Amino acid sequence: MRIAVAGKGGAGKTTISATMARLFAQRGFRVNALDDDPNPNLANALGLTASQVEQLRGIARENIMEERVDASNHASLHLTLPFDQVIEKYGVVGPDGVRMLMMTALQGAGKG
Amino acid sequence: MRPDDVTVLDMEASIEHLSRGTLRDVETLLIVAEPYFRALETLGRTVPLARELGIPQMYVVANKVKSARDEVTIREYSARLGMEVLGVVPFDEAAQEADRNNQALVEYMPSAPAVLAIARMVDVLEKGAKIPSIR
Repeated sequence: MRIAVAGKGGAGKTTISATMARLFAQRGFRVNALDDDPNPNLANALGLTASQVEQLRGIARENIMEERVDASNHASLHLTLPFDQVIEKYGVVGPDGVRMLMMTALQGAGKG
Repeated sequence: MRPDDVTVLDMEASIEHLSRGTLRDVETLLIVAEPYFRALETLGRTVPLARELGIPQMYVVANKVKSARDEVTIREYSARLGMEVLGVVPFDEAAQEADRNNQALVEYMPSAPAVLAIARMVDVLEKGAKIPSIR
């Protein structure tokens, strides 16, 4: 099941996303938590360690997402690899076994 | 993805970025709304965009609700948009405190009213999780 959480900035998306992720994990689901906000806070709200947050922030966004332009010249973002591989390669495992991936880390970080 | 996998995607605030790319394979979209005019206005703009994307299930989550009047405000606005409210999360100091302490709310206070309200939404979603999505 894939659940996306949207809403105005400051409305509480991150707290709700993080709490849901942890509760699903506590109930035995295998949970992935993805942060697609350019001002990413989900890692902290999930309770990851400072070094895990650093690790996630250090991953260049272009490793995870790439822009593709369709026939009508509309650009959209896509994962560079199948989802399971991306999260395996660039994710970290947090409390309750929640696997977390940050999709909007610093652009250009870790290039080359 | 295995059927017992759950993926939670914390999205970018700006609704214009609701795109088919990011929302591919998303079965459930939760739109978090506060009982303030500007937040509700954002909800009003998000719903038609999300409908265009054809996401199978969409719900409003009422958040930071301080009074019965707050709840009614969000419920009435949602109803006008043809949207169901999945849950009502009360305004909860514990959420601010957890944030100040840089802690997960569920660890800071597992029995916080906001956590209990979110758990009730998980109950509903969990039932839905067993229903295979139609693509």
